[in-house]
Amino acid sequence: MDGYVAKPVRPSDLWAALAAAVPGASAVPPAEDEPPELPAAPDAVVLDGAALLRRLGGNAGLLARILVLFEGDCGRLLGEMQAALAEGDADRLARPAHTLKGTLGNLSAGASCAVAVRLEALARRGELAEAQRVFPQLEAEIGRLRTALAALGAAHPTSSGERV
Amino acid sequence: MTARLAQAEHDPEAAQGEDGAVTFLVVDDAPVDRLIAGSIVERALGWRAVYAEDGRSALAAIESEKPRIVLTDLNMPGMGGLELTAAVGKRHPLVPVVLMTAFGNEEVALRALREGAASYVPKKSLDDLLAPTLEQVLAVARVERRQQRLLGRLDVAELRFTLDNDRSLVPAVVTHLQQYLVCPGLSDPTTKTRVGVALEEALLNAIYHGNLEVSSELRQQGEEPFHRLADERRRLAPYSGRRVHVAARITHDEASFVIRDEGPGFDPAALPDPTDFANLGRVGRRGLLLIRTFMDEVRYNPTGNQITLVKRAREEGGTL
Repeated sequence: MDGYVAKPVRPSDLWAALAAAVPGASAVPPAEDEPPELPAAPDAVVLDGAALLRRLGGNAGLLARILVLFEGDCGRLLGEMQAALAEGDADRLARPAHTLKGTLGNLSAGASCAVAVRLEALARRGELAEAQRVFPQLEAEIGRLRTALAALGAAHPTSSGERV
Repeated sequence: MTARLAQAEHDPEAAQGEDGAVTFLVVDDAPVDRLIAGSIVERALGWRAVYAEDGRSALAAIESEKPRIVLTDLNMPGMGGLELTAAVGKRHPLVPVVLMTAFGNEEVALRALREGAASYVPKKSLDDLLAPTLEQVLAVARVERRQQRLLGRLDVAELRFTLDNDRSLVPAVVTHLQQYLVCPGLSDPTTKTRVGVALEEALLNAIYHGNLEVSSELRQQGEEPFHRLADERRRLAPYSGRRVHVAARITHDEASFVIRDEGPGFDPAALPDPTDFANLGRVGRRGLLLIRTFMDEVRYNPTGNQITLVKRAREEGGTL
């Protein structure tokens, strides 16, 4: 069964469910489980531009659309997080942190993604004081990411025929 | 464009865009994420992506765009991925749902699979797994769709099963029989469920009260002594040699099921009023009430070891 990568809490349950869901699937987990996922290292790169471009099929037009979408979305999510912190509402903090984490992962933005992972975990544990201290780090990392994204976009203008 | 032509969709049943591409729906509240997921699949498979930002707008998009497959995020404001999976399963049972799980969220994925999701892909593995997974799930769904079309042309289904007294096979038998309820007056989900419940109760009655002769009075003293006695008798003559015989005949007009056990039976004449529970001790009160409520006709043979259940196609469904 090629279609699945899993880090199951209960491997037997998960694989049995997969086997039931997909005809022909094996109920036996693969020999090697994926290593547990760790937050990106502190020295993670701001932006892995090559990985992002690969994900977008080298399509400069698509990259430009992504950059515009990210600008709007990221500002909105940071604003929601700021409001949640101001009101001391950990539950309301967790959702935008979670969403931003996913988007940053998709952008191959390792450094800011790692901070968002940490912030979401703090929000879910209700550790608001620590979250207050981490939030400016997220803003700073997002600032660096914006600069890197802008440079990537400038290096791959859409006018040159969509393809990089 | 070459990729698109090379992988053109040849399935005549496919809901296709003008260029022949399979339409699929991506549901995610994060705009960057849904565009990336959609573009990965568009590029790899030549399909056409349509987008929705939460479960509720996804259900509307399924009506208007008629996608062949749905790819959804789990965590969304309003109706999330789990609820969406359940809703699509009810309203559009032939449209498979695949979930994208956030980084390290496999427990929720397992719940989604139990809600009826066809598969899931961790978000960090979209590059490698998304397109192959969707392609594989759609291939399986296509076979199911064809089977549904074939069953729609079914004139008569006649099936016979002989079961021993192991209750674990009962759900499988019930599910198998339910899939033949395809004609318009029998195929709505409520009817299917009700026939399924009635069949299950009748089969369990045949095993426990018929073959194993365990009374429902005993059950009122608790599940444990009831099942202990049933387990003992499953291995003990004469109970162990008894079988349950199931004969089903399903046409466009009605579905009838004859379930016979090999126990001593009882005198059906001792049931002057079938809804008078005082007379129904050994047959299982709740079970018989459900059977009587859900089926159109319920009959016993004179020796009381065979029950016949009939469900007729509803008129408004248009019997053929």
